[in-house]
Amino acid sequence: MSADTIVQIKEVRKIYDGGVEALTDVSLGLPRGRLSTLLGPAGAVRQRSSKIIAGLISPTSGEVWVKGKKVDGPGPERAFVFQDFALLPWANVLRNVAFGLELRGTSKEQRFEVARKHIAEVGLSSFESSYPHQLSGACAKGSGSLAPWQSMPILS
Amino acid sequence: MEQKSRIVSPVVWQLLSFVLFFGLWEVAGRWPISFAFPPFSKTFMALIRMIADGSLPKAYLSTLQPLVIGIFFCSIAGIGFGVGMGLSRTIEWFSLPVFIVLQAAPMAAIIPLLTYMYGIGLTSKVLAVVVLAAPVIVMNSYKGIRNTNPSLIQMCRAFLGTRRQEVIKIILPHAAALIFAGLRLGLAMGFIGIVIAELLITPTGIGDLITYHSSVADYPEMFAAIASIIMLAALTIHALERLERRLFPPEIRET
Repeated sequence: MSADTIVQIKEVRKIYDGGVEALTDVSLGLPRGRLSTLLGPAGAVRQRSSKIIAGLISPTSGEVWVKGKKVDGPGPERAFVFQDFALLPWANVLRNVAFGLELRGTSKEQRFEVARKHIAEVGLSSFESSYPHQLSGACAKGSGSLAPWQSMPILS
Repeated sequence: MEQKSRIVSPVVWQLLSFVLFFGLWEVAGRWPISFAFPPFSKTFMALIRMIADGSLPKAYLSTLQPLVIGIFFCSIAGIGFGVGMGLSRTIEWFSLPVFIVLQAAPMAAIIPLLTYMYGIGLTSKVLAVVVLAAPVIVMNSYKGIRNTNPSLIQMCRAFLGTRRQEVIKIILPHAAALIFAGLRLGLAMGFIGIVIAELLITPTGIGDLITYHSSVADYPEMFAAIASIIMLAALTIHALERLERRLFPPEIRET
């Protein structure tokens, strides 16, 4: 593994229970400090591949290495933005954004303070107490992607 | 059109529907076809009489007892079981078939068996409520847990949430609306159960009023007893439905 590769995928294969082979011996490296994009038509398992890197799905065979460590589950150094935003429908924007910190046991004042700061940065302050169903797609996406940002450092 | 419906509120329409129904009942009762079908006015007077002489309140006191005990038991054990089935494949494996069969089985057929095993006392009546109400409560809780949006669970895992946090912060709040709906449906089944039990096992409470007045041909009293239990069930279920809409507005539920 070269020094400037941060994510190394080694011969990853993913076969689903029904026998569908989604990934066949995929190997690739993602460079450090760069924005990498996975392109492909619908059904090209882009989301699934990223979930394998995130450690949310385990590959049938093969390995994923991040920062020189083998991935065997989700880790604090990897953040994940869900395609459907994964917002709690019964919680407002503030609680949704602070949810990662809530799971870590951060106190309410502290996590809300952090969340408010990040919400303000993307200009969604006036939506703090709105629920996901009241948001437009763009706002929902904003809150959905903020949630991971503030609780974990992004891959760097 | 829109203005008109604003002037005439829905309450008026609902009242009109009641007036129409009771009016038709009155006419049908006065039609000289069957002596056993009293008009609305006579039934209503009988209802007032039965409330005044205390026989109706007394009957409800004994009818509601097994119903309340049964529903209380179902809401604790039933929800517990359903949630357990939703969370654990093992529990699901050996209990799901039982509840699917129970849900499909005509429960009234089991009631004579209950009488045979547990006699004619409170126990069999509570059990009659339980066998009717439990399947729907269990199945709703189970489905509520199972239908949790997988994205939300993965989100929790991506944030390194524990299984405990996953259950308490994601799965249970997600299932709450369906579990509550199950309780409401379970209570409706419980009303059916208790009336069947009181008619089939031993006549007590409201079942006694129905059987007794029918045997001595006091048809207005008999109809008043029947109408009162229908009313009570409808009002209770309606109240629960309103509570459900307040607690879990449709828009904050997962679609």
